[in-house]
Amino acid sequence: MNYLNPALATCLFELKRSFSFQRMAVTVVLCLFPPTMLLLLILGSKFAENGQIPTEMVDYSTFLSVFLVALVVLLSLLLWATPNVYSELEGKSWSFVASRPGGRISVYLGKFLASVVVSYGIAFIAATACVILQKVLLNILEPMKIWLSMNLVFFLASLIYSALFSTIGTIFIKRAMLVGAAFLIGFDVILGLMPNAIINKLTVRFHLQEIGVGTMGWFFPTDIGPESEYRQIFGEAWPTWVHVLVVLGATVALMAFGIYVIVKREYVTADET
Amino acid sequence: MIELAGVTKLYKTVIGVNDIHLDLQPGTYGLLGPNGSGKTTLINLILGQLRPTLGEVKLFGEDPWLNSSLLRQIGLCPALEVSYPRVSGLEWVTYMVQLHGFGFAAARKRAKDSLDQLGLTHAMDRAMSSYSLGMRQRAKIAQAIAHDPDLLILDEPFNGLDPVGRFEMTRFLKEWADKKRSLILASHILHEVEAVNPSFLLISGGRLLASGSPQEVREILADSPFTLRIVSSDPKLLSNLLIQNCELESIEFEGNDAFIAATKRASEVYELLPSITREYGIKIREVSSTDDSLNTLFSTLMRMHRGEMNQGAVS
Repeated sequence: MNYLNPALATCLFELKRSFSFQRMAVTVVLCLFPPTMLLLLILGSKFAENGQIPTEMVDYSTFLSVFLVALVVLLSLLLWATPNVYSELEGKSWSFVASRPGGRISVYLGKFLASVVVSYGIAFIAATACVILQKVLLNILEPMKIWLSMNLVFFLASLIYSALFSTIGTIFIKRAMLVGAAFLIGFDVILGLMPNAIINKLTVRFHLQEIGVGTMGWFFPTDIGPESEYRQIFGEAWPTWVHVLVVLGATVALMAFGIYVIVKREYVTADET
Repeated sequence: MIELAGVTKLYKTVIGVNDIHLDLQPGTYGLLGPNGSGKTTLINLILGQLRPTLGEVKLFGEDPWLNSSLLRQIGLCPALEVSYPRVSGLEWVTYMVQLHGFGFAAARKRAKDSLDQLGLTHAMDRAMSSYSLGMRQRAKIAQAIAHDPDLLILDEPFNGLDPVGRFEMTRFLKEWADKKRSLILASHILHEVEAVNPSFLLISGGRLLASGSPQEVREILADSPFTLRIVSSDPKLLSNLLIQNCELESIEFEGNDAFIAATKRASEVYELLPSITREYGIKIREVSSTDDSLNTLFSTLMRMHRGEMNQGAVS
């Protein structure tokens, strides 16, 4: 069965549906939040230091850019990817799409694609604006390398987190966003920071961070710690391509699991029972 | 076409449908039952959207739960309302056809043709949120027929329609049935389904109580206490004649040309009407059962089911 055409049709349909004032406003806010915050922090430090931008700001700026863009990308993915089944049940359109051959899989894949497109789009705009600000105000070295690295990391982040949240959306229908956020904070952040633990290598954040370090160099501020300390705690670096493969492999595995769930599960709207 | 063998569906401890045996050949069927009787559950089982707790479902000889490609031959118009604020009817129907695997151009052409067939060409570029209930209902049917299915399943297609909309819907369904294409029409209102002249499947409390031809169902109804609405050229004379010759329980006049007669022997009324019209020159424009007749029918069937009445026409 051909799932590609119906999945692309779903993606385009979802994107078209999203052209509402409310959704556009949210997208614009998400795009502008990282560069605005970065600008305010740079200007704030300049005022605090009597008109001179402190050198630590240069040190911090890339880390801040990555952190802020990551924040909005994850938020966007939570908004777009987790309600994949719930929005159809809530909008009473599930019966229409599920009564198509392969409709469940097509809708699952199409909504995954739509969330990747929107979230990576937001990341692209926000990262570009942040790097331009860094270059103009802080005259950072190798802005292109940072920009390319950020784009690679956030593209991969969009893929894997979209797959993760989409799969969560097929299992925990009504509370998918809450479960997604709890997983992110509880597993990916808190457990992922446990030193010398195997578990941190199972987190998505660990692999994306390693890809970032591998492509743009050590971007954490020196007062957080030098790379040598980090390596003592989290172990030696693997080649970057290994992390890329892990991320892509995990994306495929999560999508396959999500497809299994969505095909095997009975979804019925309250009105139908 | 559709086979159900001992199919039971439980929603945790609630019974959706209960031990249904069914073998439907291609044709026109009216799935009748009160609200909450299990009609939609039965449709979802047939479509493979639900897996039976017990029993086996076959659609075109295969298990629909395991083979969703069978859905290519089905057009479904669910009872649920769907409306997108910024999506036109044409865009929505095109998308629905694309989900069947058609490319954009082919899907758009099919969507236009089906919307045209249902008289929505003038509104197909408008946002669906601006559609009336009747227009949305027609758009829902357009998405169900656009891929040219072998079997059309409509769940409560008359819901919310005004008289003109009901007339148009009935005409469309008759045309569909006349083309010798299969149709399952689920409804809780008997006379709406009667108009399409299908074979009946009567379901209540999750059980298939009876199935049969329109004549067989009329026979059950004929001996059941129920009400008739008769529109004629002379309702006063007609009602007088009926009172003299039949056991009527009550007569209630509606306007200048109609009355509602309650009787326990409807078959007598049916037998008498042709001779009265001939003898007294009264023109009868319409004889219809009211909505309550379905409840009557089901209470009769339930009594038969419990062994309190003879089986009669129940098969």
